[in-house]
Amino acid sequence: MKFLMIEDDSAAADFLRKGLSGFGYDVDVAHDGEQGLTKARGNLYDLWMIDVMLPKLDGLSVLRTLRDEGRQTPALILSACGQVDDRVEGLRAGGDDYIVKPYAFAELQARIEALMRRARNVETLPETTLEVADLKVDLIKRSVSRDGQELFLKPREFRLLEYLMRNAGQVVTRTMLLENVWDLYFDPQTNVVDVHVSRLRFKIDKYFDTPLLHTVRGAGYVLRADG
Amino acid sequence: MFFARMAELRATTPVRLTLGFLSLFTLGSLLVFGYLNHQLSAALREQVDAMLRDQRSVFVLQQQEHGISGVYSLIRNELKDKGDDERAYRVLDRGGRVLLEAGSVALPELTLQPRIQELQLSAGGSVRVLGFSLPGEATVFVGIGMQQTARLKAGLWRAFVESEVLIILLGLVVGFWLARRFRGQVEAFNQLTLKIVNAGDLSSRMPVKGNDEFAALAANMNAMLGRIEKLVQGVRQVGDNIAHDIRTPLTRLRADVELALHDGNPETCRATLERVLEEVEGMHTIVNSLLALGQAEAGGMRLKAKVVDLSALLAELGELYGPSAEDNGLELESRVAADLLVHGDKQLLAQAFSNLLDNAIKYVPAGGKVLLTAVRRGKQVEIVVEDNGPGIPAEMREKIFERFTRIDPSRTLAGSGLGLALVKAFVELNQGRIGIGESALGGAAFKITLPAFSA
Repeated sequence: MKFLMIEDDSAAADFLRKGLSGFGYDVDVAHDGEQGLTKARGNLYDLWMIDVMLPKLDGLSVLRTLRDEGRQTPALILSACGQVDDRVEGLRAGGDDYIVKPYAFAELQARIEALMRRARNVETLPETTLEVADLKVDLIKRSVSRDGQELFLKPREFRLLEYLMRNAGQVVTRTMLLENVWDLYFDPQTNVVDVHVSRLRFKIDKYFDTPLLHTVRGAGYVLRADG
Repeated sequence: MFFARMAELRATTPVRLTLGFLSLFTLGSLLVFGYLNHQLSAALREQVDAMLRDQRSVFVLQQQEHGISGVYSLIRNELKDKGDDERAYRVLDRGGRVLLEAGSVALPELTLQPRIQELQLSAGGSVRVLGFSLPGEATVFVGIGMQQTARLKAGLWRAFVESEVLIILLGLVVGFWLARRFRGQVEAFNQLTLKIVNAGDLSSRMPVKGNDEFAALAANMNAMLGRIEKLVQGVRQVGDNIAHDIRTPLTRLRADVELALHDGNPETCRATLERVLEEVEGMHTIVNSLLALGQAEAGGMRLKAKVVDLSALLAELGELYGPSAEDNGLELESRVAADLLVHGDKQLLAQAFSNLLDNAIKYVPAGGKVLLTAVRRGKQVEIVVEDNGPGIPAEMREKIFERFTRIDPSRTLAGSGLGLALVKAFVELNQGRIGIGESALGGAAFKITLPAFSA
C-alpha cells in the first residue's frame, strides 16, 4: 500500500514514514501544499494524509481542489487545532477522518486501518447482518446472538457492538468509540468508555469459552475470533 | 552647591511655573504702571493748565479794575499765598522791556504764543507757561513749575519698584518651597519605580500621607502594585505547578526505565513500555488542557455557536457516565427537563459537564449519590451537578476554578487540577456563568446558568 503524506515538519514526516513502513505501508512525503497537489495528481495512492497548516497552499485547499477534480482517494486530515469546528470544516472539505496532533501512533494506525477497510467495502451492498465467529448481529431486527443463544443489549451497547463488528480484526481506540458511538469529541478524564466496553464484554463473552472482545494495552480494543 | 541645587531645581515643573508666572506678573504690572503714570501725568498737567487759565482771567479782571498797579499787587498776593518756589511771573511793556520778574523759577526768553507751552529749565525740571496781553498796556507770562508733579511721579515709581521686588522675592521663595515639596514627593515615586525596575521587588509600597492628589496617586499606585504582585505570583505558581506536575511522572518514568534496563527481561521491558506510554499520555493531557485553557482565556478559540439540544446532550452524558458511577458504587440520577435549547458549542459544553461528572465520580465515596438537574428559569437554563460527597470548603470556593487548585494539597488524589478551570473557561465562552454552593444532599453543588435559546 502506498500513502502520500503532505507535511511540512520534516522530522515528524520522517518519524511517521518509518513508523508506517514497519506495518508495510510505503509513504511518499511532500513538504508543501503545491508539491502535495502535484504528487497527488501524478500518482495513485491508497491514502492521502494531509496536514492543515502548510506553506504555499493550505491542506484543506489542496483537498478541496483534488475532490473538485473528482479524485476519490481516502483522506486523513492531521491538524494541530483540536477544535470541533476545524474538524467539521476538515470533513466538509472532503476529508474521511480527522486526527488531532499530537496523537498516539496507535491512534493513527487504528484510524488508517479503519479507513482502508472502509475503502475496500465501498462497493459492497449495505450489510444487514454482521458476523464474527459465532457472534451474529442482525441490523434489521436489531438482535444479537452468540452460538444460537439470543443476547439482550441496551441500545447503546448495540451501537457499540455494531461499531466493533464493522471494524472487526482492527484496533479501535477509546477516542474512536466516543466519536462514533456517542458523537462526542473530547477525552474524558476517567474510564467511562472502558466501563461500557466491559459491560458489553460481560454480555458477549462471559458465558462462552472463547473471548472475542480483547483489550490492546496502550491502544484500545479489538473484536476478533482468534485470541 | 547652592547653585547646583538651584540648577537642579530649575528643571522641575513648579519652578518653571513660578518663573513663568512671575515674569508674566512683572510684565503685566509694568503695563498697568505705565498706563497709570500716563493718565496721572495728563491729569496733573490738566490741573496746572486750569490754574494758568484761571490766573489769566484774574489778571485781566484785575487790570480792568485797578490798572497795572492792581496787576503788581495781585502778583505779590499770589506769591504770598501760594509760595514762590513753583511760580514765575514776568511782565513786559509794549516795547518788550521787562517791568517785573518775580518767583523763584527762572524763566528763559519767551515769545507770546496762544497756547500753553512747556519749557525745560536749565536748572532741571520743567515749567508750564502761559503768556497773554493785557489790553493797551503790557504782556504777562505766568509759569507754574512741574517739580512737585515730578516728585509725585518719582515717589509712585519707587513704591511700584519696591512692591514689585517684594512680590518677586516672595514668589520665588514660595515657588522654590513648592518645588522642593513637589520634588520630594515625585522623587519618592521615582525611587519606588526604580527599585521595582532594578530589583524586581514588587512588595514595596508608597507611604500614603494626607489626602491630596499625591496621596490618591500613592494609594492607586499601591493598589496597582498589589494587583501586579498577585498576578505575578499566580503566574509563578502556575509555572511551579507545571514543573511539579511534569516532574513527578518524569521521575517515575526514569526510575521505571532504569529498572527495566537493568532487569533486561523482555516481559518486564514490555510492561515498562506500556506504563511509560500511560505516563506520557497523562502528561499529554495536562499539556493539551493547558493549551485549551490558554486559548479559551485569551479568546483565541473560534466558537461557531449553533443551537444545542441541551436535554439530549445531558441525557447522553448521563447515559455515558451511568455505568461508570455504578461501578464506583454511586447512584447517578438525572432530572433533565425536556426541550432545553441553548445557543453554543456542543462539544465544549459536553466537555464542561463531563468534567463535572468526572469529578463527582472521582471524589464522592462509594455509596454516595450524584444528581444532575436541568431546568429553565425565565430566560436562563440552569444546570446543577450536585452530590453528597465531602463538598468544597467555603474558603476554597473562589480558588477552585483557578488552574492547579486542588482541595487536597498533598496531591495524592489523581487529577491535573485543570478540570474545573476548563469548565469555567468553556462555560464562559458559551456566555454562561458557573457558581458553587452547598447541595441539599450535603456535598458540593455546581450551578451553571446559560442563556436559553428562543427562536
